[in-house]
Amino acid sequence: MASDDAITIGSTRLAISARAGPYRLPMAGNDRATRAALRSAQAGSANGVEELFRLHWPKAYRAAYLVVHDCAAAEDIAQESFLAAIRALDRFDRRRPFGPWLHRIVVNRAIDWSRSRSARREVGEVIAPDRGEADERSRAAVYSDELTTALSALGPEQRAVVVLRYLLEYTPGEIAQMLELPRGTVNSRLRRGLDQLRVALEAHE
Amino acid sequence: MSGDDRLRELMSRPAPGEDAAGERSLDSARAAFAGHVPRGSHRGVRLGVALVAASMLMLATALTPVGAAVGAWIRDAGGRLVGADDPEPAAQLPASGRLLLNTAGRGAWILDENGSRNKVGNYSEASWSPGGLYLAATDTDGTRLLALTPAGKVRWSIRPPVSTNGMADPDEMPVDDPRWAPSGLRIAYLAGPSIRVIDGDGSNDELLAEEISPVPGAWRPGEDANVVSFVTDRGQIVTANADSGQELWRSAAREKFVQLEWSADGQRLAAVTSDELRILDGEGTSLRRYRLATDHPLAAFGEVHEVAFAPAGSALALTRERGGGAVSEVLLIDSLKPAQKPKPLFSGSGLIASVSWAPDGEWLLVANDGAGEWSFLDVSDPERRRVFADTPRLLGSRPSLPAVSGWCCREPPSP
Repeated sequence: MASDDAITIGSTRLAISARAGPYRLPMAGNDRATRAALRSAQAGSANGVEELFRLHWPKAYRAAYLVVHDCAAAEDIAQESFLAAIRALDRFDRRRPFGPWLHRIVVNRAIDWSRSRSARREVGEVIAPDRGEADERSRAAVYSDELTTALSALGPEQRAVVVLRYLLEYTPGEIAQMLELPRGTVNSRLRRGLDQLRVALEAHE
Repeated sequence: MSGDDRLRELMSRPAPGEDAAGERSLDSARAAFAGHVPRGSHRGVRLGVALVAASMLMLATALTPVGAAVGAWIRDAGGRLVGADDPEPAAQLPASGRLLLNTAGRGAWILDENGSRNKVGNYSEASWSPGGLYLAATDTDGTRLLALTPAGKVRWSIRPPVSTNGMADPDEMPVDDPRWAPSGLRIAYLAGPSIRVIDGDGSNDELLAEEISPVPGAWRPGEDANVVSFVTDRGQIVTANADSGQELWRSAAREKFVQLEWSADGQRLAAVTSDELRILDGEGTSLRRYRLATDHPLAAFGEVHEVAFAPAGSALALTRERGGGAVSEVLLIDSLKPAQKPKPLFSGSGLIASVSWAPDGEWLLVANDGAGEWSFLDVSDPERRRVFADTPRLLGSRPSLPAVSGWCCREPPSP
């Protein structure tokens, strides 16, 4: 299969430009910063671990919070997921994507936690989102009541799918893999979840 | 703003308690890292096996002549062969050759077929040259590329130049994944967002291409010229003559490839994404796609993790996992017969980190990091296997899970 944009240079060795096509895919595997942090952490550097944490904590915590709506539980889930990552550092292949691996752990644990809470709570009891302690930055721009209230109307599995799609930007196919669901199930949960969210969000306008 | 965009915007804000929780969790992460020990999911099993092995060791030493290697394979009550329970358990290979091992924080090591180990040095990313005469490696900072003898003598080292695309931060530009060409005359390696090629004697270090995905280059065997394939950051596979810089072909598809590997005869290229294995011919034409989506009509697998072509012939070993590594399998594919059903070789719990062929092509080493054990499979009779059940302590009392870089040939005789 000859490429239309093959570059013939001649007898001297020259650099091939890798540019082809008008768009750029997300980096296969990890972004450069994560890869560098992983390498550093695997070489035994605490700074590498801290950098890895700094790069991935926000989304891990937000994902957990948006599924469980409980600050303490979100902290436990995100923290435990990072500790699992640290335990697995020695054998983690830097070519494999760290973010999706971490998010898979976070979201699956968050779903499990939410199911357990649902099983424990009384019928008719309304769980108000836990807004936790208001640190300085989160006072400035935290999740709005409209979002958290709208999300709490969805089941945990639906919330997880919506969070994976709109916060963590995974495709439906990737979500299907992470949650080990058929793609059709992911698509239908997304559709129903978004329909409910739109109604709830529009009601706040 | 569309509804989707609004939802994204709402979700992109900080969550309540995010910063305070982050500070507490970072403290926990620091503490865990300071005292972290690789965690095997089969810690209990390993202990049980060790107890059985200890009792079998006593029986074995009673029956074998004095001076017989204590580190010999011992068969446990379940019929599996396991390593002896000593502080530095020995792992003898079932076939000739040497294993090259990379560890996090403990350098590169060579494990000989008789179980002896020697440390090459504090290097990373070590890989074999053809014939096992030399190694290519990087320093632990990822700033230097080196060529070494297996005994650890440095032949040459270089510090690659900063890439010309302006990314001047060395922390984000590690030297990585050196790979010797089958001719032994060139080494391809990654330097940040570029792929470079250098002569085997350390001369003529040149940039081959920029804006590259961090996937190791794959040399194509069986060519007169030194031909290498790599992945651009736009997800295209490019195959080029590394000597002239001429691009031979470029894939039309754009995918998130994580591994490329050529067959031993240079006629087929395996290209792996997280959910698909593609077999391409020597000109880049797609011959077969193994899709992994669970609801796809052609679905055959879970998540593909690693592929390895046999040292001769058309066989390809493929690992896959389900449930985040809860179940892992190794399958054998004939890349010349894409319609043929894959042959299952191995199934077990735990995450498989790598598969490595013995130089004779008759054994396959399956490194099950989740269980902390190596399984050596007889490819012609997968039921016949040998298991070394203590890989975390293979290189000493401090736990460390070694990564298998390659199973190469015996040490050549001294001139």
